[in-house]
Amino acid sequence: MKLFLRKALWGCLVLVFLAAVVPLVVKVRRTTEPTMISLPSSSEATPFPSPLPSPVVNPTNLEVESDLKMIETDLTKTKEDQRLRPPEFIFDLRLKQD
Amino acid sequence: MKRNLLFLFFFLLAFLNLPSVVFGQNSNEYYQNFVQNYHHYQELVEPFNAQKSRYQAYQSVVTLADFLESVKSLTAAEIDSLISYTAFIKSLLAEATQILNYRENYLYVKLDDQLAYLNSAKDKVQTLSSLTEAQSFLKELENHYQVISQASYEIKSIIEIGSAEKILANVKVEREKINNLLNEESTVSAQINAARERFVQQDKEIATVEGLISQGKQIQQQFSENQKASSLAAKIRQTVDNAYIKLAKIVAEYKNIIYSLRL
Repeated sequence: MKLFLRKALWGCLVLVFLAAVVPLVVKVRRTTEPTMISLPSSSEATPFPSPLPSPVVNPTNLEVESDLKMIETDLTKTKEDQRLRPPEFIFDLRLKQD
Repeated sequence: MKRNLLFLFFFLLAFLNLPSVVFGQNSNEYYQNFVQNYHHYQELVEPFNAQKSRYQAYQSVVTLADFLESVKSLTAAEIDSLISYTAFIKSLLAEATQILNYRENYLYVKLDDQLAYLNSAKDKVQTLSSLTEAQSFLKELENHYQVISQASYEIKSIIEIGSAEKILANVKVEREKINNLLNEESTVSAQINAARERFVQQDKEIATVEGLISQGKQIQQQFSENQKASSLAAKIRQTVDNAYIKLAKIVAEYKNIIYSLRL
């Protein structure tokens, strides 16, 4: 009886060991499989270094551009304010013509 | 702890209400108030016309009494509308003259006088006892309306000329900056020379804008000469519009010049 129990215990331990180790081995094997080398698509192409340096724009030039845009915005807001046209009222009962 | 929280609550409440307490209503709020009052006035026009037709048809004591009541209601609504309209144009002038350093004080005085008259006229409406009295009262009210109406056109022109002057001043500041950029440019090329030529041409356009604005100011002087305010305001608007067209062209040319300096 004792022998049987000892064998059963060993059997359980082996099963537990296999259940823990087998998935790990499978995972390691999968990651070590050679993968496809992905080529960069046309949009991901590495840019060639430009032989000419990009032109440096004077900061005053940029400032003037920004200010001129603001003036343009101001010019679009110069529509006539119709609210300042006085309202119409009746001031004559026109009793003489009645 | 509770006391501190209560204090904080009241402090925040007071802080949030501070702008309306300190600065009062803004012109948009005054305008909304006027729109409401004017809408009420317009609603009373139809009953007024109906009572007038009944009075004309029957000429009876009852129809006369009903018509007089509708005249009084309409006139009261007219005064309310005029009060809110005057408050609106005064607030607009106040907002505009913050930029003009309160140059137009005489208009404030004029509008305050009109508001004082309108407030007293409001009480007088209820004492009108005949159509003849109502007619002469309306005639008097019309004279005050003409003063308010003229002030309104004058304020419109002040704001229009003021904003054109402000835009011109800003354009002149940019002109100086572009001039410095051109002077700093050491390279000699056909493009730089062309940019300089276009820049000089814009000075003539600026002079034209200055001429248009001073023309508008000359027309503005005629408001005090009892000229027809609506036609003077229309002339000023036309002059200012012409100035804006020129200014838009100058700004486009300046943009063109600064882009060319980057190449």
